[in-house]
Amino acid sequence: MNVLFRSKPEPGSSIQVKAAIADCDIHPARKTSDELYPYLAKRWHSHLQIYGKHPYQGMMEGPPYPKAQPNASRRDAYPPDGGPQGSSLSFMQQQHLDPNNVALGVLCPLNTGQGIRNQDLSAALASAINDWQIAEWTSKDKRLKGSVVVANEDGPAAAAEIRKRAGDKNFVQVLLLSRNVEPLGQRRYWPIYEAAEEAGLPIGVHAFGFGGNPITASGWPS
Amino acid sequence: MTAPIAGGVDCDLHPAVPHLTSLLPYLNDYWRDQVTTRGMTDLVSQSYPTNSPISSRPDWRPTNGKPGSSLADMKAQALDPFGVSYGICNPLFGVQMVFSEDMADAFCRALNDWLAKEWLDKDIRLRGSIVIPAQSVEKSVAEIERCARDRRFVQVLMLVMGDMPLGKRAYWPIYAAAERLGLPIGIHAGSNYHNPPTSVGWGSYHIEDYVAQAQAFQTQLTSLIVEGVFARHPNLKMVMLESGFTWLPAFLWRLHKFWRGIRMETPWVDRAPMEIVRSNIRFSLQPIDAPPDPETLNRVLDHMQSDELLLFSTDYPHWQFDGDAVLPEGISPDLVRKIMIDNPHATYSRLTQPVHETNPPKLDWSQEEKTP
Repeated sequence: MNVLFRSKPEPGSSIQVKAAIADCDIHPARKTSDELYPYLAKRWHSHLQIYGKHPYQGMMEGPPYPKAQPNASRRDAYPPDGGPQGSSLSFMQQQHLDPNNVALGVLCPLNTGQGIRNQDLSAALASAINDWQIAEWTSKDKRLKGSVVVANEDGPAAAAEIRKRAGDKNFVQVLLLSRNVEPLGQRRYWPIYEAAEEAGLPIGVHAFGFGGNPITASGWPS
Repeated sequence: MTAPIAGGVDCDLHPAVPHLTSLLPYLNDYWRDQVTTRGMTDLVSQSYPTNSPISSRPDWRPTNGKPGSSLADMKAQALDPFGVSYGICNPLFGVQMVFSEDMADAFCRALNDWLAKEWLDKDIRLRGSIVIPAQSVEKSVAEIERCARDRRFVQVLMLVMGDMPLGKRAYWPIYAAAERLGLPIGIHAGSNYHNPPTSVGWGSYHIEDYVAQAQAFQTQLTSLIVEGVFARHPNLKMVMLESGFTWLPAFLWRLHKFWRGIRMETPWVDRAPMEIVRSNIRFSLQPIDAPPDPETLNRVLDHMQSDELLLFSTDYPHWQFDGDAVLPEGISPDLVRKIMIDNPHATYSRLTQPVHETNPPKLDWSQEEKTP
Protein backbone atom coordinates (compact mmCIF):
# COMPACT_ATOMS: atom_id res chain seq x y z
CA MET A 1 0.00 0.00 0.00
CA ASN A 2 0.97 3.64 -0.41
CA VAL A 3 3.53 2.88 -3.09
CA LEU A 4 4.66 5.93 -5.02
CA PHE A 5 4.03 5.88 -8.74
CA ARG A 6 6.76 7.20 -10.95
CA SER A 7 6.16 8.23 -14.51
CA LYS A 8 9.87 7.86 -15.28
CA PRO A 9 12.92 6.19 -13.72
CA GLU A 10 14.43 7.81 -10.67
CA PRO A 11 17.25 10.29 -11.40
CA GLY A 12 20.55 8.47 -11.51
CA SER A 13 18.97 5.12 -12.29
CA SER A 14 20.81 3.11 -14.91
CA ILE A 15 17.51 1.78 -16.28
CA GLN A 16 16.57 3.93 -19.23
CA VAL A 17 14.07 1.77 -21.06
CA LYS A 18 11.60 -0.50 -19.34
CA ALA A 19 10.63 -3.72 -21.00
CA ALA A 20 7.00 -3.74 -22.03
CA ILE A 21 4.98 -6.09 -19.90
CA ALA A 22 1.77 -8.06 -20.06
CA ASP A 23 -0.53 -7.74 -17.06
CA CYS A 24 -2.87 -10.71 -17.20
CA ASP A 25 -5.16 -9.71 -14.32
CA ILE A 26 -6.66 -6.22 -14.35
CA HIS A 27 -10.05 -5.58 -12.73
CA PRO A 28 -12.21 -2.97 -14.41
CA ALA A 29 -15.06 -1.78 -12.19
CA ARG A 30 -18.35 -0.05 -12.82
CA LYS A 31 -18.76 3.52 -11.58
CA THR A 32 -22.37 2.92 -10.55
CA SER A 33 -24.54 -0.16 -10.02
CA ASP A 34 -26.70 0.71 -13.04
CA GLU A 35 -23.83 1.19 -15.48
CA LEU A 36 -24.71 -2.09 -17.22
CA TYR A 37 -28.36 -1.14 -17.87
CA PRO A 38 -27.74 0.08 -21.43
CA TYR A 39 -26.49 -3.43 -22.23
CA LEU A 40 -29.35 -5.25 -20.48
CA ALA A 41 -32.94 -5.88 -21.59
CA LYS A 42 -35.47 -3.71 -19.72
CA ARG A 43 -36.95 -6.64 -17.80
CA TRP A 44 -33.65 -7.15 -15.97
CA HIS A 45 -33.49 -3.52 -14.79
CA SER A 46 -36.58 -3.92 -12.61
CA HIS A 47 -35.60 -7.49 -11.69
CA LEU A 48 -32.28 -6.26 -10.31
CA GLN A 49 -33.97 -3.38 -8.49
CA ILE A 50 -36.51 -5.67 -6.82
CA TYR A 51 -34.66 -8.91 -6.16
CA GLY A 52 -31.00 -8.04 -6.61
CA LYS A 53 -28.63 -10.57 -8.14
CA HIS A 54 -29.90 -13.47 -6.02
CA PRO A 55 -26.51 -15.14 -5.67
CA TYR A 56 -25.52 -18.32 -3.82
CA GLN A 57 -25.04 -16.31 -0.60
CA GLY A 58 -27.24 -14.14 1.56
CA MET A 59 -26.08 -10.55 1.15
CA MET A 60 -28.08 -8.22 -1.07
CA GLU A 61 -24.86 -6.23 -1.51
CA GLY A 62 -21.27 -6.76 -0.50
CA PRO A 63 -19.46 -10.01 0.29
CA PRO A 64 -20.34 -12.25 3.26
CA TYR A 65 -16.74 -11.91 4.40
CA PRO A 66 -16.10 -8.15 4.57
CA LYS A 67 -12.83 -7.29 2.91
CA ALA A 68 -9.91 -5.74 4.75
CA GLN A 69 -10.42 -2.56 2.77
CA PRO A 70 -13.15 -1.21 0.49
CA ASN A 71 -13.63 -3.48 -2.55
CA ALA A 72 -10.39 -5.32 -1.62
CA SER A 73 -8.62 -2.61 -3.59
CA ARG A 74 -5.81 -0.21 -2.80
CA ARG A 75 -6.95 3.00 -1.17
CA ASP A 76 -4.69 5.03 -3.48
CA ALA A 77 -6.51 3.60 -6.49
CA TYR A 78 -9.69 5.65 -6.03
CA PRO A 79 -10.09 7.73 -9.20
CA PRO A 80 -9.91 11.47 -8.43
CA ASP A 81 -13.20 12.02 -10.30
CA GLY A 82 -15.11 9.55 -8.10
CA GLY A 83 -16.31 5.95 -8.35
CA PRO A 84 -14.70 2.81 -6.97
CA GLN A 85 -11.17 1.68 -7.62
CA GLY A 86 -10.67 0.51 -11.19
CA SER A 87 -13.66 2.38 -12.60
CA SER A 88 -11.77 5.06 -14.55
CA LEU A 89 -9.85 4.22 -17.72
CA SER A 90 -7.92 7.50 -17.72
CA PHE A 91 -6.81 7.00 -14.13
CA MET A 92 -5.86 3.37 -14.85
CA GLN A 93 -3.75 4.61 -17.74
CA GLN A 94 -2.11 7.29 -15.63
CA GLN A 95 -1.58 5.15 -12.56
CA HIS A 96 -0.76 1.77 -14.08
CA LEU A 97 -0.73 1.22 -17.85
CA ASP A 98 1.61 4.10 -18.75
CA PRO A 99 4.19 4.09 -15.92
CA ASN A 100 4.48 0.30 -15.93
CA ASN A 101 4.62 0.17 -19.72
CA VAL A 102 1.84 -2.36 -20.03
CA ALA A 103 1.62 -3.50 -23.64
CA LEU A 104 -1.08 -6.09 -23.02
CA GLY A 105 -3.62 -5.73 -20.22
CA VAL A 106 -6.14 -8.55 -19.79
CA LEU A 107 -9.37 -7.45 -18.19
CA CYS A 108 -10.94 -9.81 -15.65
CA PRO A 109 -14.22 -8.21 -14.59
CA LEU A 110 -15.49 -9.46 -11.23
CA ASN A 111 -18.92 -9.17 -9.57
CA THR A 112 -20.53 -9.91 -12.89
CA GLY A 113 -23.00 -12.59 -13.90
CA GLN A 114 -21.39 -15.56 -12.18
CA GLY A 115 -22.48 -17.33 -9.03
CA ILE A 116 -26.09 -16.31 -9.66
CA ARG A 117 -28.98 -18.70 -9.10
CA ASN A 118 -31.25 -17.43 -11.89
CA GLN A 119 -29.48 -18.70 -15.02
CA ASP A 120 -31.33 -16.37 -17.41
CA LEU A 121 -30.13 -13.37 -15.40
CA SER A 122 -26.64 -14.87 -15.24
CA ALA A 123 -26.51 -15.17 -19.03
CA ALA A 124 -27.93 -11.67 -19.57
CA LEU A 125 -25.41 -10.11 -17.18
CA ALA A 126 -22.52 -12.03 -18.74
CA SER A 127 -23.41 -10.84 -22.21
CA ALA A 128 -23.87 -7.29 -20.92
CA ILE A 129 -20.49 -7.21 -19.22
CA ASN A 130 -18.87 -8.43 -22.44
CA ASP A 131 -20.49 -5.64 -24.47
CA TRP A 132 -19.48 -3.22 -21.74
CA GLN A 133 -15.82 -4.33 -21.89
CA ILE A 134 -15.73 -3.48 -25.59
CA ALA A 135 -17.64 -0.20 -25.32
CA GLU A 136 -15.92 1.21 -22.25
CA TRP A 137 -12.44 -0.33 -22.29
CA THR A 138 -10.99 -2.30 -25.22
CA SER A 139 -12.30 0.05 -27.92
CA LYS A 140 -10.80 3.00 -26.06
CA ASP A 141 -7.35 1.56 -25.31
CA LYS A 142 -5.88 -0.97 -27.71
CA ARG A 143 -3.54 -2.32 -25.03
CA LEU A 144 -6.54 -3.73 -23.19
CA LYS A 145 -8.17 -7.05 -24.06
CA GLY A 146 -11.31 -8.52 -22.57
CA SER A 147 -12.31 -11.84 -21.02
CA VAL A 148 -15.50 -13.54 -22.17
CA VAL A 149 -17.67 -13.70 -19.04
CA VAL A 150 -20.15 -16.59 -19.15
CA ALA A 151 -23.11 -17.96 -17.19
CA ASN A 152 -20.84 -20.44 -15.46
CA GLU A 153 -23.54 -22.84 -14.19
CA ASP A 154 -25.38 -23.09 -17.51
CA GLY A 155 -23.07 -24.92 -19.93
CA PRO A 156 -25.09 -24.47 -23.14
CA ALA A 157 -25.78 -20.75 -22.46
CA ALA A 158 -22.09 -20.23 -21.68
CA ALA A 159 -21.05 -22.02 -24.86
CA ALA A 160 -23.43 -19.85 -26.89
CA GLU A 161 -21.88 -16.70 -25.44
CA ILE A 162 -18.36 -17.96 -26.25
CA ARG A 163 -19.36 -18.76 -29.85
CA LYS A 164 -20.91 -15.30 -30.13
CA ARG A 165 -17.52 -13.77 -29.22
CA ALA A 166 -15.37 -16.23 -31.19
CA GLY A 167 -13.09 -14.40 -33.62
CA ASP A 168 -13.65 -11.05 -31.89
CA LYS A 169 -10.17 -9.65 -31.32
CA ASN A 170 -11.39 -7.74 -28.27
CA PHE A 171 -11.32 -10.99 -26.28
CA VAL A 172 -8.36 -13.18 -25.42
CA GLN A 173 -9.79 -15.68 -22.91
CA VAL A 174 -12.90 -17.11 -21.26
CA LEU A 175 -13.28 -16.25 -17.57
CA LEU A 176 -14.39 -18.60 -14.83
CA LEU A 177 -14.10 -18.30 -11.06
CA SER A 178 -12.56 -20.88 -8.76
CA ARG A 179 -15.69 -21.48 -6.70
CA ASN A 180 -18.67 -22.94 -8.50
CA VAL A 181 -21.56 -25.25 -7.69
CA GLU A 182 -19.42 -28.27 -8.60
CA PRO A 183 -15.71 -28.88 -9.23
CA LEU A 184 -14.72 -27.53 -12.63
CA GLY A 185 -13.89 -30.98 -14.01
CA GLN A 186 -17.52 -32.06 -13.82
CA ARG A 187 -19.24 -32.75 -17.13
CA ARG A 188 -21.78 -29.92 -16.66
CA TYR A 189 -18.98 -27.46 -17.47
CA TRP A 190 -17.64 -29.28 -20.53
CA PRO A 191 -19.72 -27.35 -23.09
CA ILE A 192 -17.75 -24.28 -21.94
CA TYR A 193 -14.44 -26.01 -22.61
CA GLU A 194 -15.58 -27.34 -25.96
CA ALA A 195 -16.64 -23.88 -27.18
CA ALA A 196 -13.46 -22.25 -25.81
CA GLU A 197 -11.22 -24.78 -27.55
CA GLU A 198 -13.18 -24.26 -30.76
CA ALA A 199 -12.68 -20.49 -30.50
CA GLY A 200 -9.00 -20.84 -29.60
CA LEU A 201 -9.47 -19.13 -26.25
CA PRO A 202 -7.80 -20.26 -23.02
CA ILE A 203 -9.92 -20.56 -19.87
CA GLY A 204 -8.85 -18.16 -17.12
CA VAL A 205 -9.86 -19.30 -13.64
CA HIS A 206 -9.84 -16.40 -11.24
CA ALA A 207 -9.87 -16.75 -7.47
CA PHE A 208 -13.16 -16.50 -5.53
CA GLY A 209 -16.77 -16.83 -6.59
CA PHE A 210 -19.85 -18.32 -4.94
CA GLY A 211 -21.18 -21.81 -5.48
CA GLY A 212 -23.15 -22.12 -2.27
CA ASN A 213 -20.83 -24.73 -0.81
CA PRO A 214 -18.88 -24.19 2.42
CA ILE A 215 -15.51 -22.78 1.44
CA THR A 216 -13.47 -25.34 3.35
CA ALA A 217 -13.86 -29.09 3.59
CA SER A 218 -14.76 -28.65 7.25
CA GLY A 219 -17.35 -25.94 6.82
CA TRP A 220 -17.52 -22.17 6.93
CA PRO A 221 -14.58 -20.41 8.64
CA SER A 222 -14.91 -17.06 10.38
CA MET B 1 -64.60 -8.57 7.97
CA THR B 2 -63.54 -9.83 11.38
CA ALA B 3 -62.74 -6.73 13.40
CA PRO B 4 -59.74 -6.68 15.72
CA ILE B 5 -60.54 -5.99 19.39
CA ALA B 6 -58.76 -3.42 21.51
CA GLY B 7 -55.93 -4.43 23.80
CA GLY B 8 -54.34 -7.06 21.57
CA VAL B 9 -50.70 -8.03 21.23
CA ASP B 10 -49.06 -7.78 17.82
CA CYS B 11 -46.44 -10.52 18.03
CA ASP B 12 -44.54 -9.85 14.81
CA LEU B 13 -43.47 -6.31 13.92
CA HIS B 14 -40.33 -5.58 11.95
CA PRO B 15 -38.55 -2.32 12.69
CA ALA B 16 -35.82 -1.80 10.10
CA VAL B 17 -32.29 -0.58 10.75
CA PRO B 18 -31.93 2.25 8.20
CA HIS B 19 -28.33 1.28 7.39
CA LEU B 20 -25.37 -0.49 8.99
CA THR B 21 -24.00 2.96 9.78
CA SER B 22 -27.07 3.54 12.02
CA LEU B 23 -25.46 1.06 14.43
CA LEU B 24 -22.13 2.93 14.62
CA PRO B 25 -23.10 4.82 17.81
CA TYR B 26 -23.78 1.45 19.47
CA LEU B 27 -20.46 -0.16 18.50
CA ASN B 28 -17.20 0.16 20.41
CA ASP B 29 -14.19 1.90 18.87
CA TYR B 30 -12.77 -1.28 17.40
CA TRP B 31 -15.91 -2.31 15.54
CA ARG B 32 -16.79 1.24 14.51
CA ASP B 33 -13.37 1.40 12.92
CA GLN B 34 -13.83 -2.02 11.26
CA VAL B 35 -17.08 -0.96 9.61
CA THR B 36 -15.56 2.19 8.14
CA THR B 37 -12.01 1.01 7.38
CA ARG B 38 -13.11 -2.17 5.66
CA GLY B 39 -15.77 -0.39 3.64
CA MET B 40 -18.58 -2.67 4.86
CA THR B 41 -21.90 -2.31 3.09
CA ASP B 42 -25.39 -2.69 4.52
CA LEU B 43 -26.57 -6.04 5.92
CA VAL B 44 -29.72 -6.70 3.93
CA SER B 45 -30.66 -10.35 3.63
CA GLN B 46 -31.84 -11.99 0.43
CA SER B 47 -34.68 -13.38 2.56
CA TYR B 48 -36.30 -9.92 2.40
CA PRO B 49 -34.97 -7.82 -0.51
CA THR B 50 -35.93 -4.23 0.34
CA ASN B 51 -37.80 -3.63 -2.93
CA SER B 52 -39.51 -7.02 -3.10
CA PRO B 53 -43.34 -6.95 -2.90
CA ILE B 54 -43.29 -9.32 0.12
CA SER B 55 -41.07 -6.90 2.06
CA SER B 56 -43.67 -4.15 2.26
CA ARG B 57 -47.32 -3.48 1.58
CA PRO B 58 -47.45 -0.87 -1.19
CA ASP B 59 -49.39 1.57 1.02
CA TRP B 60 -46.91 1.00 3.86
CA ARG B 61 -43.83 1.62 1.70
CA PRO B 62 -42.18 4.93 2.58
CA THR B 63 -41.07 7.40 -0.07
CA ASN B 64 -37.51 7.13 1.14
CA GLY B 65 -35.65 4.49 3.08
CA LYS B 66 -36.46 0.97 4.11
CA PRO B 67 -40.02 -0.12 4.92
CA GLY B 68 -40.40 -0.30 8.70
CA SER B 69 -37.64 2.18 9.42
CA SER B 70 -39.96 4.88 10.79
CA LEU B 71 -41.61 4.62 14.22
CA ALA B 72 -44.17 7.25 13.20
CA ASP B 73 -45.20 5.06 10.26
CA MET B 74 -45.42 1.96 12.45
CA LYS B 75 -47.68 3.82 14.88
CA ALA B 76 -49.92 5.19 12.14
CA GLN B 77 -50.05 2.02 10.05
CA ALA B 78 -50.04 -0.79 12.63
CA LEU B 79 -50.06 0.05 16.34
CA ASP B 80 -52.89 2.61 16.25
CA PRO B 81 -55.25 1.13 13.60
CA PHE B 82 -55.20 -2.36 15.13
CA GLY B 83 -55.51 -0.93 18.65
CA VAL B 84 -52.86 -3.09 20.26
CA SER B 85 -51.62 -2.73 23.83
CA TYR B 86 -48.30 -4.31 22.97
CA GLY B 87 -46.24 -4.79 19.83
CA ILE B 88 -43.27 -7.15 19.79
CA CYS B 89 -40.38 -5.98 17.62
CA ASN B 90 -38.49 -8.65 15.70
CA PRO B 91 -35.62 -6.99 13.79
CA LEU B 92 -34.61 -8.86 10.65
CA PHE B 93 -31.37 -6.95 10.02
CA GLY B 94 -28.92 -9.42 8.47
CA VAL B 95 -26.52 -9.73 11.39
CA GLN B 96 -26.69 -13.54 11.35
CA MET B 97 -25.23 -13.78 7.83
CA VAL B 98 -21.68 -12.76 8.70
CA PHE B 99 -19.35 -15.66 9.36
CA SER B 100 -17.26 -14.16 12.15
CA GLU B 101 -18.87 -14.84 15.50
CA ASP B 102 -17.05 -11.85 17.00
CA MET B 103 -18.46 -9.54 14.34
CA ALA B 104 -21.92 -11.09 14.59
CA ASP B 105 -21.79 -10.67 18.36
CA ALA B 106 -20.79 -6.99 18.11
CA PHE B 107 -23.56 -6.32 15.58
CA CYS B 108 -26.16 -8.19 17.68
CA ARG B 109 -25.28 -6.20 20.80
CA ALA B 110 -25.47 -2.98 18.83
CA LEU B 111 -28.77 -4.02 17.26
CA ASN B 112 -30.34 -4.83 20.64
CA ASP B 113 -29.15 -1.55 22.15
CA TRP B 114 -30.40 0.30 19.06
CA LEU B 115 -33.81 -1.34 19.44
CA ALA B 116 -34.05 -0.36 23.11
CA LYS B 117 -33.02 3.24 22.50
CA GLU B 118 -34.61 4.05 19.15
CA TRP B 119 -37.86 2.09 19.54
CA LEU B 120 -38.65 0.72 23.01
CA ASP B 121 -37.76 4.02 24.71
CA LYS B 122 -40.07 5.92 22.37
CA ASP B 123 -43.36 4.02 22.61
CA ILE B 124 -44.47 2.27 25.78
CA ARG B 125 -46.43 -0.32 23.80
CA LEU B 126 -43.30 -1.74 22.20
CA ARG B 127 -41.47 -4.81 23.43
CA GLY B 128 -38.33 -6.35 21.98
CA SER B 129 -36.79 -9.65 20.93
CA ILE B 130 -33.15 -10.32 21.74
CA VAL B 131 -31.23 -11.01 18.53
CA ILE B 132 -28.37 -13.43 19.21
CA PRO B 133 -25.19 -14.49 17.37
CA ALA B 134 -26.38 -18.10 17.21
CA GLN B 135 -23.14 -19.46 15.77
CA SER B 136 -21.59 -18.86 19.22
CA VAL B 137 -23.70 -20.43 21.95
CA GLU B 138 -21.51 -18.89 24.65
CA LYS B 139 -21.89 -15.37 23.26
CA SER B 140 -25.61 -15.94 22.67
CA VAL B 141 -26.17 -16.88 26.30
CA ALA B 142 -24.17 -13.84 27.44
CA GLU B 143 -26.26 -11.55 25.21
CA ILE B 144 -29.52 -13.08 26.45
CA GLU B 145 -28.45 -12.53 30.05
CA ARG B 146 -27.30 -8.97 29.34
CA CYS B 147 -30.49 -7.91 27.57
CA ALA B 148 -32.87 -9.84 29.84
CA ARG B 149 -32.13 -7.36 32.63
CA ASP B 150 -34.22 -4.96 30.58
CA ARG B 151 -37.70 -6.39 31.20
CA ARG B 152 -38.98 -4.93 27.93
CA PHE B 153 -37.16 -7.73 26.11
CA VAL B 154 -39.73 -10.51 26.10
CA GLN B 155 -38.26 -13.09 23.71
CA VAL B 156 -35.08 -14.48 22.13
CA LEU B 157 -35.03 -14.39 18.32
CA MET B 158 -33.46 -16.96 16.01
CA LEU B 159 -33.75 -17.66 12.28
CA VAL B 160 -35.42 -20.82 11.03
CA MET B 161 -32.53 -21.50 8.63
CA GLY B 162 -29.18 -21.38 10.39
CA ASP B 163 -26.01 -23.39 10.75
CA MET B 164 -27.46 -26.51 12.36
CA PRO B 165 -30.85 -28.06 13.11
CA LEU B 166 -32.19 -26.20 16.14
CA GLY B 167 -32.73 -29.32 18.24
CA LYS B 168 -28.99 -30.07 18.32
CA ARG B 169 -27.68 -30.34 21.88
CA ALA B 170 -25.05 -27.67 21.21
CA TYR B 171 -27.84 -25.07 21.27
CA TRP B 172 -29.36 -26.22 24.55
CA PRO B 173 -27.57 -23.67 26.79
CA ILE B 174 -29.49 -21.00 24.83
CA TYR B 175 -32.75 -22.76 25.62
CA ALA B 176 -31.79 -23.20 29.28
CA ALA B 177 -31.06 -19.48 29.60
CA ALA B 178 -34.33 -18.55 27.90
CA GLU B 179 -36.39 -20.86 30.08
CA ARG B 180 -34.66 -19.61 33.24
CA LEU B 181 -35.32 -15.96 32.34
CA GLY B 182 -38.94 -16.45 31.26
CA LEU B 183 -38.23 -15.76 27.59
CA PRO B 184 -39.81 -17.75 24.78
CA ILE B 185 -37.62 -18.57 21.79
CA GLY B 186 -39.05 -16.88 18.69
CA ILE B 187 -38.05 -18.61 15.48
CA HIS B 188 -38.55 -16.36 12.49
CA ALA B 189 -38.58 -17.08 8.77
CA GLY B 190 -35.30 -16.29 7.08
CA SER B 191 -31.89 -17.79 6.44
CA ASN B 192 -28.32 -16.91 7.30
CA TYR B 193 -27.54 -18.51 3.92
CA HIS B 194 -24.70 -20.59 5.33
CA ASN B 195 -26.58 -23.55 3.89
CA PRO B 196 -28.76 -23.89 0.78
CA PRO B 197 -32.25 -22.56 1.56
CA THR B 198 -33.94 -25.83 0.61
CA SER B 199 -33.07 -29.40 1.54
CA VAL B 200 -32.47 -30.19 -2.13
CA GLY B 201 -30.14 -27.30 -2.90
CA TRP B 202 -30.27 -23.76 -4.20
CA GLY B 203 -33.38 -22.69 -6.13
CA SER B 204 -33.30 -20.11 -8.91
CA TYR B 205 -35.94 -17.68 -7.67
CA HIS B 206 -36.93 -15.63 -4.64
CA ILE B 207 -40.31 -17.38 -4.45
CA GLU B 208 -38.52 -20.69 -3.89
CA ASP B 209 -36.70 -19.32 -0.85
CA TYR B 210 -39.88 -17.83 0.58
CA VAL B 211 -42.13 -20.86 0.08
CA ALA B 212 -39.38 -23.11 1.49
CA GLN B 213 -39.63 -21.31 4.84
CA ALA B 214 -42.60 -23.54 5.73
CA GLN B 215 -40.59 -26.71 5.06
CA ALA B 216 -37.77 -25.32 7.20
CA PHE B 217 -40.19 -24.75 10.08
CA GLN B 218 -41.39 -28.34 9.79
CA THR B 219 -37.83 -29.63 9.80
CA GLN B 220 -36.99 -27.53 12.86
CA LEU B 221 -40.11 -28.63 14.75
CA THR B 222 -39.16 -32.24 14.09
CA SER B 223 -35.61 -31.60 15.25
CA LEU B 224 -36.67 -29.74 18.41
CA ILE B 225 -39.17 -32.45 19.36
CA VAL B 226 -37.17 -35.59 18.61
CA GLU B 227 -33.91 -34.28 20.10
CA GLY B 228 -35.82 -33.88 23.35
CA VAL B 229 -35.64 -30.12 23.94
CA PHE B 230 -39.05 -30.06 25.61
CA ALA B 231 -38.41 -33.14 27.74
CA ARG B 232 -35.45 -31.24 29.22
CA HIS B 233 -37.15 -27.82 29.21
CA PRO B 234 -40.86 -28.46 29.75
CA ASN B 235 -41.57 -24.81 30.54
CA LEU B 236 -39.86 -23.43 27.45
CA LYS B 237 -42.17 -21.88 24.85
CA MET B 238 -41.19 -21.52 21.24
CA VAL B 239 -43.01 -19.26 18.79
CA MET B 240 -42.94 -19.91 15.05
CA LEU B 241 -42.98 -16.46 13.45
CA GLU B 242 -44.16 -15.86 9.87
CA SER B 243 -44.20 -19.64 9.51
CA GLY B 244 -47.73 -20.15 8.26
CA PHE B 245 -49.77 -22.65 10.26
CA THR B 246 -52.25 -24.33 7.91
CA TRP B 247 -49.64 -27.04 7.20
CA LEU B 248 -49.55 -28.02 10.86
CA PRO B 249 -52.30 -30.70 10.99
CA ALA B 250 -50.93 -32.69 8.04
CA PHE B 251 -47.36 -32.35 9.27
CA LEU B 252 -48.29 -33.42 12.79
CA TRP B 253 -50.13 -36.47 11.53
CA ARG B 254 -46.99 -37.58 9.73
CA LEU B 255 -44.66 -36.85 12.65
CA HIS B 256 -47.08 -38.39 15.14
CA LYS B 257 -47.55 -41.53 13.07
CA PHE B 258 -43.85 -42.20 12.63
CA TRP B 259 -43.09 -41.30 16.24
CA ARG B 260 -45.55 -44.01 17.27
CA GLY B 261 -43.89 -46.49 14.96
CA ILE B 262 -40.21 -45.83 15.65
CA ARG B 263 -40.11 -44.02 18.98
CA MET B 264 -37.68 -46.62 20.37
CA GLU B 265 -35.03 -44.60 18.53
CA THR B 266 -35.72 -41.49 20.64
CA PRO B 267 -36.97 -42.84 23.99
CA TRP B 268 -36.57 -39.45 25.70
CA VAL B 269 -39.51 -38.07 23.73
CA ASP B 270 -41.91 -38.77 26.58
CA ARG B 271 -45.04 -37.25 25.07
CA ALA B 272 -46.68 -37.45 21.68
CA PRO B 273 -45.50 -34.70 19.27
CA MET B 274 -49.07 -33.39 19.12
CA GLU B 275 -49.10 -32.91 22.89
CA ILE B 276 -45.70 -31.22 22.85
CA VAL B 277 -46.88 -28.78 20.19
CA ARG B 278 -50.02 -27.99 22.15
CA SER B 279 -48.09 -27.25 25.34
CA ASN B 280 -44.89 -25.65 24.04
CA ILE B 281 -45.23 -24.35 20.47
CA ARG B 282 -47.10 -21.28 19.24
CA PHE B 283 -47.57 -19.75 15.78
CA SER B 284 -47.99 -16.18 14.64
CA LEU B 285 -51.20 -15.51 12.71
CA GLN B 286 -49.81 -14.04 9.48
CA PRO B 287 -49.39 -15.29 6.82
CA ILE B 288 -52.60 -17.32 6.58
CA ASP B 289 -52.15 -19.83 3.78
CA ALA B 290 -55.76 -20.82 3.20
CA PRO B 291 -58.60 -20.09 0.82
CA PRO B 292 -60.79 -17.14 1.84
CA ASP B 293 -63.94 -19.12 2.62
CA PRO B 294 -64.45 -19.37 6.40
CA GLU B 295 -65.64 -22.96 6.32
CA THR B 296 -62.34 -24.30 5.02
CA LEU B 297 -60.26 -22.28 7.45
CA ASN B 298 -62.42 -23.31 10.39
CA ARG B 299 -61.92 -26.95 9.46
CA VAL B 300 -58.15 -26.41 9.50
CA LEU B 301 -58.41 -24.66 12.88
CA ASP B 302 -60.50 -27.59 14.12
CA HIS B 303 -57.82 -30.02 12.94
CA MET B 304 -55.25 -28.10 15.00
CA GLN B 305 -57.17 -29.41 18.06
CA SER B 306 -56.45 -26.35 20.15
CA ASP B 307 -57.49 -22.71 20.23
CA GLU B 308 -54.33 -21.76 22.13
CA LEU B 309 -51.79 -22.10 19.33
CA LEU B 310 -52.22 -18.86 17.38
CA LEU B 311 -50.83 -15.45 18.33
CA PHE B 312 -52.03 -12.26 16.66
CA SER B 313 -49.57 -10.70 14.21
CA THR B 314 -49.63 -8.18 11.40
CA ASP B 315 -46.13 -9.04 10.16
CA TYR B 316 -45.77 -5.28 9.61
CA PRO B 317 -44.57 -4.02 7.13
CA HIS B 318 -44.57 -7.28 5.13
CA TRP B 319 -47.41 -7.65 2.63
CA GLN B 320 -49.62 -10.45 3.94
CA PHE B 321 -53.06 -8.80 3.74
CA ASP B 322 -54.71 -5.64 2.43
CA GLY B 323 -56.64 -2.93 4.24
CA ASP B 324 -57.52 -3.87 7.80
CA ALA B 325 -58.28 -7.53 7.00
CA VAL B 326 -55.66 -8.80 9.43
CA LEU B 327 -58.05 -11.38 10.94
CA PRO B 328 -59.57 -14.09 8.74
CA GLU B 329 -63.27 -14.11 7.90
CA GLY B 330 -65.64 -16.18 9.95
CA ILE B 331 -63.71 -16.93 13.13
CA SER B 332 -65.60 -16.75 16.41
CA PRO B 333 -65.39 -13.79 18.82
CA ASP B 334 -64.00 -16.21 21.41
CA LEU B 335 -61.18 -17.19 19.11
CA VAL B 336 -60.46 -13.55 18.26
CA ARG B 337 -60.03 -12.83 21.96
CA LYS B 338 -57.82 -15.89 22.39
CA ILE B 339 -55.62 -15.02 19.43
CA MET B 340 -55.32 -11.32 20.19
CA ILE B 341 -55.08 -11.26 23.99
CA ASP B 342 -55.16 -14.51 25.96
CA ASN B 343 -52.71 -16.59 23.94
CA PRO B 344 -49.99 -13.91 23.67
CA HIS B 345 -50.23 -13.15 27.39
CA ALA B 346 -49.98 -16.85 28.23
CA THR B 347 -46.93 -17.14 25.96
CA TYR B 348 -45.00 -13.99 26.83
CA SER B 349 -44.95 -14.06 30.63
CA ARG B 350 -43.05 -10.78 30.78
CA LEU B 351 -45.98 -8.86 29.29
CA THR B 352 -47.86 -9.15 32.56
CA GLN B 353 -44.87 -8.33 34.74
CA PRO B 354 -43.73 -4.84 35.74
CA VAL B 355 -41.13 -3.10 33.61
CA HIS B 356 -38.51 -1.00 35.36
CA GLU B 357 -38.15 1.53 32.66
CA THR B 358 -36.49 4.07 34.89
CA ASN B 359 -33.33 2.03 35.13
CA PRO B 360 -32.60 0.30 31.84
CA PRO B 361 -29.23 -1.42 31.91
CA LYS B 362 -26.54 0.41 30.03
CA LEU B 363 -23.69 -1.34 28.35
CA ASP B 364 -20.55 -0.70 30.37
CA TRP B 365 -17.67 -0.61 27.93
CA SER B 366 -15.10 -0.84 30.70
CA GLN B 367 -16.20 -4.41 31.24
CA GLU B 368 -16.20 -5.29 27.58
CA GLU B 369 -13.23 -6.74 25.83
CA LYS B 370 -11.34 -4.06 23.96
CA THR B 371 -10.74 -6.29 20.99
CA PRO B 372 -13.48 -8.54 19.58
